[in-house]
Amino acid sequence: MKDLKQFLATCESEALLSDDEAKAEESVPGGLGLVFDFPGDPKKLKDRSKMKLWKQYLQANGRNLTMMHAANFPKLIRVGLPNRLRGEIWEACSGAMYLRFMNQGQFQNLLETYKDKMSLSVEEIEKDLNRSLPEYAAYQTSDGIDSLRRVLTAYSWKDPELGYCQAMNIVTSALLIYMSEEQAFFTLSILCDDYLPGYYSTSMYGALLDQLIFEHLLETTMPMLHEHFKKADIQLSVACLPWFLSLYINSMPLLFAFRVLDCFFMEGPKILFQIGLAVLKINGAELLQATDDGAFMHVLKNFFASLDDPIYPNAETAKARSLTKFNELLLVAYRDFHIVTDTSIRQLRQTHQLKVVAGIESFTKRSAIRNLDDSANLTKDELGVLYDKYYNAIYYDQKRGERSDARMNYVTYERFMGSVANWAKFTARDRTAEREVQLGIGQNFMTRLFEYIDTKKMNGLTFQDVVTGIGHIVRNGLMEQIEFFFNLHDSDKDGYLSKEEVLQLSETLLWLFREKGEEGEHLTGVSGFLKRAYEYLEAKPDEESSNNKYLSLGSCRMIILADETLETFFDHEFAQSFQLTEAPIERQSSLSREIFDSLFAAGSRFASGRGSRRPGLSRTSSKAPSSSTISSIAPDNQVSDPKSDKIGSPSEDSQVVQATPTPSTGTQEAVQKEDDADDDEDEEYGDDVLEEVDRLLDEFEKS
Amino acid sequence: MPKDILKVVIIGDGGVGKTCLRNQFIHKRFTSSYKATIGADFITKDVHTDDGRKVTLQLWDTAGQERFQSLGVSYYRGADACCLVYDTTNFQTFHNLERWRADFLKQSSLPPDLLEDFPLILIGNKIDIDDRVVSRRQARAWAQQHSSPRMEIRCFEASAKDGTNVEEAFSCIAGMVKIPQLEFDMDGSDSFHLNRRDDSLRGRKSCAC
Repeated sequence: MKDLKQFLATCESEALLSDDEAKAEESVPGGLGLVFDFPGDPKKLKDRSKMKLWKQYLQANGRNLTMMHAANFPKLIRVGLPNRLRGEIWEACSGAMYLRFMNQGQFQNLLETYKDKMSLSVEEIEKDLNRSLPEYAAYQTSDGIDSLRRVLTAYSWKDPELGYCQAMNIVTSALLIYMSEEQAFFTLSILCDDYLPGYYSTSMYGALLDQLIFEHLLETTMPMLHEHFKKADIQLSVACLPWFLSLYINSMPLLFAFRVLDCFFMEGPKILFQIGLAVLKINGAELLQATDDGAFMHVLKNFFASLDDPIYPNAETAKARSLTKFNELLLVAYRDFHIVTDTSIRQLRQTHQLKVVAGIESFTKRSAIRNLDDSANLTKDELGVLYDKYYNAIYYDQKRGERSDARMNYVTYERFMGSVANWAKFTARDRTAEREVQLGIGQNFMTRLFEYIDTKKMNGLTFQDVVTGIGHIVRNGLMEQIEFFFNLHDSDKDGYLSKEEVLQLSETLLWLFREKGEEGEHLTGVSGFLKRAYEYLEAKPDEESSNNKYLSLGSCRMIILADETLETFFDHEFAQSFQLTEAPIERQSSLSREIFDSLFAAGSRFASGRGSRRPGLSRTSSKAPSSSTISSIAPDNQVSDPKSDKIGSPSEDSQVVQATPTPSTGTQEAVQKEDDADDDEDEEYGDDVLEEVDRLLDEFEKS
Repeated sequence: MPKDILKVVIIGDGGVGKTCLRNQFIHKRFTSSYKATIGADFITKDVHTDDGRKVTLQLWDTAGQERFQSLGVSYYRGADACCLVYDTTNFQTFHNLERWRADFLKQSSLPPDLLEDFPLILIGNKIDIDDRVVSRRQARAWAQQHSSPRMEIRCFEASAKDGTNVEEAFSCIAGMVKIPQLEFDMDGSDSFHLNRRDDSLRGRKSCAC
């Protein structure tokens, strides 16, 4: 209960409805807009009237955690949210509010725990702070920059594997205008985990996936345009990838981008697709003239810059004259692309994901292999196998950095070696008490090998180190292999093996042969080696008087060559023990793991959109008039309600968007020949919602 | 009137000043108020080369963060030239040029035998800052190492902030692109990329004879 009280004190809606509104509002933390002003002219945005409408709405339907989703809810959102409530409605719609309520203090804790700690992400964030939303006044001061730094850094520590991806800075800087740091932090969480899974991950597979889907949707809804892009070899994603990654904030004038965000938080990622398709449709005629990526982007840039232009500058009524291209865009998005639903996006994400995974994985792999300075004479296929095994092993402890500066520590290396060579696999039997001594010998050898591969003495192996090291070992001939083992056990690097070192070499060999059966020629070979090695010990030339005797490389070779089993081992058996050929079962890549993680571990959020986002949400708030009320504000609802597959449920908000007089039909004909169907829909959307809301707003302005 | 459009791609680590160099070249001013490049973006500008040709430079600015590289969106396709940018005050950005060059050549989808002659220039930015860690000599050595007998990588040390050498660098790249390639650009036919390559291949063969 105390938590709840504390939490409610951070909600704008509480202040709005309290007895002493002005006083209460002073203490509610909010966005940078409270200090640096919100973008746009509040009068022109009818902010005061919208606020009054919302006050009424909240009084009637509950607020913050217990807000209900009444019939006019989508309408109120689609005309644009009022400045002071915008942040709270965003977090209520997206579920970030619940996350924040359940994890109070998490944001502050992260900041304190990782205070002054450095990471690659922190460095990358620092580079981008000044280039996020420089046009907004707050980001020209340290207040705004510090806020942005805190939210991005805290998030990078919360999800170190994701860390920081460019575009998150732009999205977050926009959120912070309307939200407190804590609100923005949890909203960012919801975005990364839920609305836009995999968008900002190191492979960015989610963004690629949605690009594929976008292209697919273009093909089904506007085949002519799709065909044209294909013919002209225009890459859709050159222009569209940034739309999705930065939620149009980077592409549209800010005020319009916020309107899109309003809809986005209410209805989910499908809005991004609907807006994108509408942009292409409206500009269809011009796009059909574009013959390369450059011209294509040019058309779209011009369009975004003109969103504030009236569609009917010469119309008779003021109302018609005030309609802008943005109104048209929203209308086309909802009316012409209502077939794009949350369900369909979710299904498409599932259908296309494997394609994306395969594509990225093979790309990163090819480029990593290509970028090796030294392939150590390994073939492409062998390098490919090493790559898979290396990254497979490293995936598990990659909680700290990026792939590029990834180094494999000893523990991971042991696992990696186990996947490359059978003798390096430590089985349960190896770890039993009776084998303790043997285990020590094995780990001793593994450590020597690790140090050998770790040429730069970084106490960690890069992919290049592994390629060079293993490449040499497997290409060693008989004499080189003997020398390699000799040197590996020559701890003091004096060119001789001491008695102790000879013993260690023998032990190593025994350990390597441990799976070959206790009896047999390997055992005989090793004991013969030890016996003869001791016979051939000699004094070093420079200390002939000393009693210390050593084994020289020459004698060592001679002894080994005298034994057929050992000769075979050094000649090819050891080199061949490295399995560098394709083993299909082990080829589960780190990236597919990444995806499977997001599929299963996090409650199959990837597969089912946001199925498991707020477990027990309806139970937590006793204030809820009925259990269905809260969840009804969440898009989850749309999943269970098949009727709502079209923009919300048809009964309440199919007419939601400003029904403008039919927008530029010329382009539509060029793009699509499906306009016949539009006639019916125009009736369906005939009711002018904007007018209705405008009337309400006007009433408040008069009173 | 057909126009010569040269697609020039600017690549390099995040924060080395790719966008600022370009903005300085286009607008003749430096602004610290710009946004990190998400994906890629381009601006065009007409320039006159030394031999009096008028060409339109289509300057493609790209995202520098590493993870954007794996996206495989080929911003490099059909490029006529490439600017490799590093920060003279940050050695890592110089070191990474190797990778940037390799990635570029790979993704430009050029035929392998044309790769080493592809027009590249090197720009070390931020020389206005008194904290140089990459020497002129290092840059020159790198350029020499990656030049081919038919294509010399020119090095520039520039400052997007005060404008030093910016104009020079971009004009240089406009001059580097060979004229025969341009003539094929002017055809404007659907398959000019193919034509151009065929032509270059032929040119190469005849030279080798």
